[in-house]
Amino acid sequence: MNSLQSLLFDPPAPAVPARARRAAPPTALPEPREARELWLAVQLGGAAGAVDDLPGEAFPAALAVLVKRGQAFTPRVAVESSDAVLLELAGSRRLFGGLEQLLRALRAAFPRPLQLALAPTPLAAVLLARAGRNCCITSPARLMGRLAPLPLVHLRWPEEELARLGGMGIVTLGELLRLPRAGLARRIGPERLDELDRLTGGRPDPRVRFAPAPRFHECIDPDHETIDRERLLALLGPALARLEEFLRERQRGVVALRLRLHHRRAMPVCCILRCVVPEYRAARFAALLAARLESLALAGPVRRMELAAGRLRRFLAASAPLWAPGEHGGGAMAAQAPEFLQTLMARLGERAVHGVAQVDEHRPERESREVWFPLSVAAARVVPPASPAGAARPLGLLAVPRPLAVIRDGAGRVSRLLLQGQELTLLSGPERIESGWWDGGEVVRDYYLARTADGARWWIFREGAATRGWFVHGCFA
Amino acid sequence: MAALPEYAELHALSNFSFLRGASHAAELVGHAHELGYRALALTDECSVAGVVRAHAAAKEAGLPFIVGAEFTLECGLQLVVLAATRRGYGQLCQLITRGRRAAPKGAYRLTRADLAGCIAPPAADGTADCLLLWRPGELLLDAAADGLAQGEWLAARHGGALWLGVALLRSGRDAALLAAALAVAARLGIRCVACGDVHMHEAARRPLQDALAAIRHRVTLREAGRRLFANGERHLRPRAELARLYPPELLAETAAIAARCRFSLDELRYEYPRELVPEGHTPASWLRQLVEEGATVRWPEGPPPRARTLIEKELDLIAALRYEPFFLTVHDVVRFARGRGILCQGRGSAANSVVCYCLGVTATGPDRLEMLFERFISKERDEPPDIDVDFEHERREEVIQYIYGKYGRDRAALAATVITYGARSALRDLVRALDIDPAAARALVHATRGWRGHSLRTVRWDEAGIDTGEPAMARLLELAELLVNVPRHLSQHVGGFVISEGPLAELVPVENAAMADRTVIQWDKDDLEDLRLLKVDVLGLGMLTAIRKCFGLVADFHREEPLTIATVPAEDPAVYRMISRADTIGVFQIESRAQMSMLPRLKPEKYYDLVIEVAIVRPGPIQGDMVHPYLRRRAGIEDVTYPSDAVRGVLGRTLGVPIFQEQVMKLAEVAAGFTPGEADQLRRAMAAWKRRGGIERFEQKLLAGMRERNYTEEFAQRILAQIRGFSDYGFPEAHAASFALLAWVSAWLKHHHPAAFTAALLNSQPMGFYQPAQLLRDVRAHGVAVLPVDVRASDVDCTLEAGEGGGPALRLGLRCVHSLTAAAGERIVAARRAAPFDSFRDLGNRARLARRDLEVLAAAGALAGFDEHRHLAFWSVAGYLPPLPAAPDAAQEAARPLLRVPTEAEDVFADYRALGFTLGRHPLALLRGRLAAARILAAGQLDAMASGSQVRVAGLVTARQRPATSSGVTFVTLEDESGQVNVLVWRRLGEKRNDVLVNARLMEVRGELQRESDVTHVIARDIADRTPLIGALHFGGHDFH
Repeated sequence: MNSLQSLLFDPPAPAVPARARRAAPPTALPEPREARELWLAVQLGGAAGAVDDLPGEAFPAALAVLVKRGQAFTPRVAVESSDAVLLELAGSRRLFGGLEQLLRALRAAFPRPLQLALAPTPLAAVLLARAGRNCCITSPARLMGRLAPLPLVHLRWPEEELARLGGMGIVTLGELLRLPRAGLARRIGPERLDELDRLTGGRPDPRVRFAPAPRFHECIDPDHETIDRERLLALLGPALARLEEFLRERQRGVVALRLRLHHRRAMPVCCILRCVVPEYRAARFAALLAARLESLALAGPVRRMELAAGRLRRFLAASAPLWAPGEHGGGAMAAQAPEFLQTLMARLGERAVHGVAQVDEHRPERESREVWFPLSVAAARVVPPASPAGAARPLGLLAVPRPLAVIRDGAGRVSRLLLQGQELTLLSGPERIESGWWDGGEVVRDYYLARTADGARWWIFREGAATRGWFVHGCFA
Repeated sequence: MAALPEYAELHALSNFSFLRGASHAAELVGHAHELGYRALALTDECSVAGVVRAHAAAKEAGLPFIVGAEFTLECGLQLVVLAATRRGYGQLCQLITRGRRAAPKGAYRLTRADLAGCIAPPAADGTADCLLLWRPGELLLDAAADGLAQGEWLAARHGGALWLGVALLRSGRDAALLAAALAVAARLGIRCVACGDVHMHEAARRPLQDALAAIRHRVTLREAGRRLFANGERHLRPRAELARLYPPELLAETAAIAARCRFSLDELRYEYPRELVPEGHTPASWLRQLVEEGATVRWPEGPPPRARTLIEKELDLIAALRYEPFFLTVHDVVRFARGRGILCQGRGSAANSVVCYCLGVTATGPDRLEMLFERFISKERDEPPDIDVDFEHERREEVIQYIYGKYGRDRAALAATVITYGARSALRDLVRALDIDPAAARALVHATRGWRGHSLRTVRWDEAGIDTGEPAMARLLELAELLVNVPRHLSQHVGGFVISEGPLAELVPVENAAMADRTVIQWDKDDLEDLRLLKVDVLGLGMLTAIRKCFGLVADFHREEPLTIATVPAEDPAVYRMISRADTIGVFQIESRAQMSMLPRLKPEKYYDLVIEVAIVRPGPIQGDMVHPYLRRRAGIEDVTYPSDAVRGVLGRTLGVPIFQEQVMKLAEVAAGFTPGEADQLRRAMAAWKRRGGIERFEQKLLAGMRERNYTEEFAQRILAQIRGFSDYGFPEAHAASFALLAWVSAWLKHHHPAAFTAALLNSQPMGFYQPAQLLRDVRAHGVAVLPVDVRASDVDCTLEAGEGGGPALRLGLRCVHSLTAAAGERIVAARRAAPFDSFRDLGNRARLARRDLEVLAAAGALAGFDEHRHLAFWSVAGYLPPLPAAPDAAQEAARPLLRVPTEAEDVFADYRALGFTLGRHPLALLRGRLAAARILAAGQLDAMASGSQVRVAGLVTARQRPATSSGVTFVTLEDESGQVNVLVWRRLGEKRNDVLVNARLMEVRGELQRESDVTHVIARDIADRTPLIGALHFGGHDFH
């Protein structure tokens, strides 16, 4: 056990409480020399990515993992900074069969190079962990001795405050804590003094327990398995009502809702509902789910339904228009557009519906592009082009320009252009477009408006590159 | 085909319309000429910055050239103004000036009222000074816009001189545009004219033009969208193509307009202010009188005959070229400075004349420097006189403000400097516009680190791991190559003033500089020279400040008349001995490492040796490989020979080795058969070839000429290399002579008054080559006592106190304390004058110091008199509160803690932090135990080592230099407690250990010791950063002990 201790923590273990406590009456307070609280600081080392099984890229993600692991040992988990979490262990000792066992389990859960330090106050634990002193202090009496040699930098005070103390020759906590209180308060300010008091246990240091972000998740178990869609929807009703209440309370909406249908013998079927704008109304969800379920192939009777909402989003509540659509010119589609889109998407599938955005571009084939719902921030911020396009554009373009038949005269000059056997007459042009050399999609073309004998108007161009070929690119309605 | 229409382009932008135009002015002119254009107008946006270059190119090509500018008024009205006459040009400049002066640097703001106020309407007989092209563009197609209203306003005022400019750019709406323009013009009773809205000389520049637009809008090309032009039609188009696009009458009109623009920049005449000449005098008679008065001061018993003849010769020449006002202007500026006690000195070819000596512009007389006065202004060469005047750097602003005050802002302005894209800035902007992957971008920047040269093709890209074959990279490099040397903005010249008799804005537009209270003209110094306009260079020189302060300190301490530059004794063997020992830290010009390594070899013995010393350690002589031949000849190892008698005349005074710029020029004349005019062109090409190129034809001529006259190929090639070297920094003898005088004066002061000299240098910081730490170490090595900064004794400046032996000791001033404000320093000195301080609280209260001020003083050890040690002093002041009016003593506190006495290391590092130096032991002395354990030698131990031995040294990095001439070698100076070590880092190692080379404060070097005639180097084999050792001293005081 001692070897384990020295592996985990530097100093020999303090008097181990396990046996002693067994002797004491169960209602007794902890031994007087034991601290009432024991805080373990878990500090990400300099190289957070070095912990292989932690998602290394982002600190907060790594931190979330630490919190989750910590919650397996104690409910009192607090986030100290972007690179450290705190676990209060006094309450969990007995559960794990004593501090020894608990610490051993903790070391296994938080392997090196994570720094661990145990101390009676949260700040002290963090400071010791930052200093890389993997130690285990359970008695307040021993705390000061361990803190004194620590350099002040670990306090992470602003550079100039440390420089001021450095000017007085004060570089360790011990030297700082020895100074007269009144003089110190005048020089470093009362907040810093308070921080030092919390560090040494002179003042309580309550911590806010880490609470995960709220999510809605519910399971519905029908009393008997059914494949009847009406029945399933009816069963979902109360859950959707609770979802609405859940969202209303928080003044939030969701843009994604997942319904998973479990069968006895087949893999579960999952359908994801996406909304164009954040939604919270049970009735809307029900309507959309109804539309969706209609086209969903079920593998058999449903045994259980699992309803989960995505991340909560802020939504803008809008007033209903005073006038009904069409009435006194009241805004026709605008208000209903999202609902209409949602219904379409629910019925046809979310990838079957997309919007069209104007793009600030000279090249005709890139002047517009598809946008998908829900609108991403980038798509929502589509900037209307700074200047209008040169001349008229057809509404639709061919996906690939189609070559025209070219009849040349004796001198090799173009005399006639034919589109599906019909001769084209140039009406206006050229509009020269030369752009896009930077992305390999360079366009060098002269566009013309042309007409066939049947009166149809076409947008045709001649390539400026070596080929000098003629193509049709679109048709004016 | 024969019937191609006449065409003159009346609307073309060069790259002086910053980030809009994509071609150089000369390219536009060249291409317009090739296409057979009738004329070309350069019409940059509210600017004529490019017209001088274009004018010169057009003159050479024989293409009529029109000066104009394009404007967009606040109301949106767009027009082009062309200067038809000299008066019209003046009006155009006025308009540009008004717009530019009303807006911050780089922008302009003009209203219709400004236009009406500057541009005169046509006269009753139909003649006009300015012709206007109204460019409504697409406005005419927009029914809602007030296109017609704009036209009506313009037509009402400028009727006979107004056209509607039509640009048909294949936008797809050309026909509609043309029809609308013709209709509007008919309604207004004006005519339409074709104009191309040209942004580049040929269509192939379209990618660069797109990239510039993206850079201007600060977006990537992908995001730029319609902020770019839809096509590349805005170039100079062949006339056949124009004939297809425009009706013939619109093209014919361009030639008609061009024919009406008769103004040429050659007409510009520039007159120096006449107010300097009193009633009853002509400029010539007044200059003569001033020179005669000056001569009697210089030679109380009358000028010697030689000087007298020179005076007459020079005055004749000045009169013939009518340069009197220029000399009078320089004299006036110098007289003002003298009156204010500002030290100044002239240099440049014309400065080293007897006239300037008599006028007091220079202090080097003909008795001291015989050779120079043969050469003055060359009449044949038609080269404008060149006088640069250096002033004390701290007081140059007074001179500048005097000039502005005396002549007014409308008559005086600084010349511009055209800031152009360099390789790195071009890459940086293009990387952003092309959205290159950041890792590749970093590799690019890395590859160009320390790169110099003309073409980016010379960079070794493959070494940096860049695949130039990859399309994105190839595009980038191709564009970067084009972007290098493209003007980016106008900045102010360091001190070139243009002063005129009439309003300057009629000669050249004046605009705001970035600095408040500064105005610059739109031309740079080459433009001025091209047009033969004179400027006076008002420059700042730190050494003049130091010398003036030193004169003052010496006079105060010894209670004698202050010295002047002229009264410093001329020749003093003891001072030359000091110089020959390279004991020259702090001495002007000859204190750099390269200079110091030259001094023991050259061993100067007289003033002219100093002139050579100053000039020889320069890129010109070094690249021309002239240094070693000169040293050998001087040491008598090599015979002094001359290829011919003609050459003897030129090189006689430098032992047959060309050293000065003018010698090389003269050689071109006598040895290669250049005419004086060609030699002058060569000189100007030399100065500009880095930027403009164009020296090749001179090179060919030079080689051919010298071959013809039987000079060896090797000699010719060396001369050529030297000419290229001069392009970095042409160094004429006249400059060297002026600098050598200051070098002499400062050396004399250093030898005779080391304490005062060092105090003056410290009081003039920042300047010179060395940090205060090195200056102080040097002066202490010369036996001068240095006393610490102390609030009870120090002034703001460093001062002299009577030392132990009665000699002067140097008392450091409060200015040495880095973070102390000047105002706080002055309050301390004033309060102490009233009564000495008895405590830090007394000091704080009476000098009204903030706690922060007291803290920096405590950190610097300047409060040592009030507390036992620095820690206690810091504790005391950290608790200082300014006195409260009601309870003055409430801020007192009784308890004082027991604080640790600072360790020596703590004291040393506190000194370094607060002052940048220490009077205690060198930090390396504190580390010596550890260093010795690692077998690292001290600088002093190297003397005992044989050349060629392997050594390890370590020291604080005091200087890193990578001279242009050293092909990538970095010179690093390390310093420890026993002295300095000179380290050479070859390029390969430097690239490998770039981080160490750039960032290490304490560097360890392993390498080979090399010794060559008193000069010791360590050639580094490897270098390492040992800065953490200082940190260990610094933060972990405990660990160390």
